[in-house]
Amino acid sequence: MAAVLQFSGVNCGKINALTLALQAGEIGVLRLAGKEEKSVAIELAVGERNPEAGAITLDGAPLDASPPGSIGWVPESGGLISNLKAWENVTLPLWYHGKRRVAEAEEQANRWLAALGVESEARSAFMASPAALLSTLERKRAGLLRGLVLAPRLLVVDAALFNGVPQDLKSSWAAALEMLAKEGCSILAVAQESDAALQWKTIG
Amino acid sequence: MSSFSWKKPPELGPHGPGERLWGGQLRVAWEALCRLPALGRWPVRQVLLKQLYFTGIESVATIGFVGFLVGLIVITELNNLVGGNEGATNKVLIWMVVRELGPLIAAIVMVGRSSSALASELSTMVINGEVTSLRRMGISPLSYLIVPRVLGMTLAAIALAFYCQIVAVGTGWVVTAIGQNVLLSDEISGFFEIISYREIAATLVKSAIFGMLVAVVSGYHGLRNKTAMTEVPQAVSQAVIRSLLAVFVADGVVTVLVY
Repeated sequence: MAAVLQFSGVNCGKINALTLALQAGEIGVLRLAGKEEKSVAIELAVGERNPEAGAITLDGAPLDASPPGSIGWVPESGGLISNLKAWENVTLPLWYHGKRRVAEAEEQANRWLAALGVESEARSAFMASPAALLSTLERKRAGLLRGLVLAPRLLVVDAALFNGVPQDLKSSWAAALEMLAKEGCSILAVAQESDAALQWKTIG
Repeated sequence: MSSFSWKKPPELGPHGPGERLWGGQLRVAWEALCRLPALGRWPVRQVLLKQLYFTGIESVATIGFVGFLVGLIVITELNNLVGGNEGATNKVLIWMVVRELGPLIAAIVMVGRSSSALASELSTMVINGEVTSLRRMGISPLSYLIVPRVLGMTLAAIALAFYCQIVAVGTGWVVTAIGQNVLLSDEISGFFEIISYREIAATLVKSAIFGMLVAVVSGYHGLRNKTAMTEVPQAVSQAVIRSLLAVFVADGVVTVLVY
């Protein structure tokens, strides 16, 4: 089976000869020594930066050629746009890439909010809240929800997302990512040594 | 690569040896123009509407008040100088208010309100990592943040300048009619006999250029790489000063070319 994400002998900055393969529906943890290596690896995986040597492909094609919205990104602290509400943030990549209709997005958001352990009565208030007023944990949750609702071909997750998250929430967030993986999405969690330990297999 | 490239745009980095300020701003303007089709995307149109509301609708009261004062001051001075002269009133209103002050006042108000707001908003987004986050989600910061703002401020500048001209000219007519015993209807008909389509077109073009310049210069200074909050006031200050400079230079160029 062809890998969804393939790094072949990638050199870039402090990253040397990195080779990894991630299959459809697979979750892999790429653990690197420091913050700088992690940052470069994330930039490479989301297609923000080209490797100095080697190749990176998504479904066999260069990242540049991948369809819009096929790579999702979950930052450490949500990466929300502060002048938008949580709902607008969650659906921003969907609308921008023209991937889903409103009703479908609402349905998906509800489903994933339930998976993330948000009670149904708290969902409306959470989604209607301006990003600037959300707590650190809520911002992380909104960022994760955005990745889940987008359901991209490849979801790149900063493993620091799980830093400082209570164990019960951490378990439900990890379970939600596993649910997404079961639906065919490949998930690459990029970590540095100091990030929280994750239960998924280490690759690369 | 398509025009919707979401790679990090090199023109927004810190100034290097080969990179000049004005060159960078020109590139932002060019990129914004090339990315106009991004307005077909719903979130980009939402940003456009917000910008039109903030720069256009929320400035109406300020522009109206300033326009009223300009009409009052200009015509009061003129009446003191030449007395009740409907022909002179209209000529001065066209030369001063329609050709120059209308677009200029709209642009200055826009610099005061929107240039500083835009530069500080974008600078804060850069520092908070929001721009990086957009890029990593495959959303071009130029398409999402700059294109709708440039278009919004350009359209708002045209509308505000037109509104300022109407208020200032109307005030001038009323002041002359009341103070100098001249018939208002004579003033209005005299005005439309003198003003030419060329003058109207030139003033619209001038306003559009001013709006676009303010948005591009402010957007450029807002989106430039920053690492600390202390750089935000510097970016805002540069955006305001350079927007004003750009507006006055463009005013000079257009005036010399057209008139």
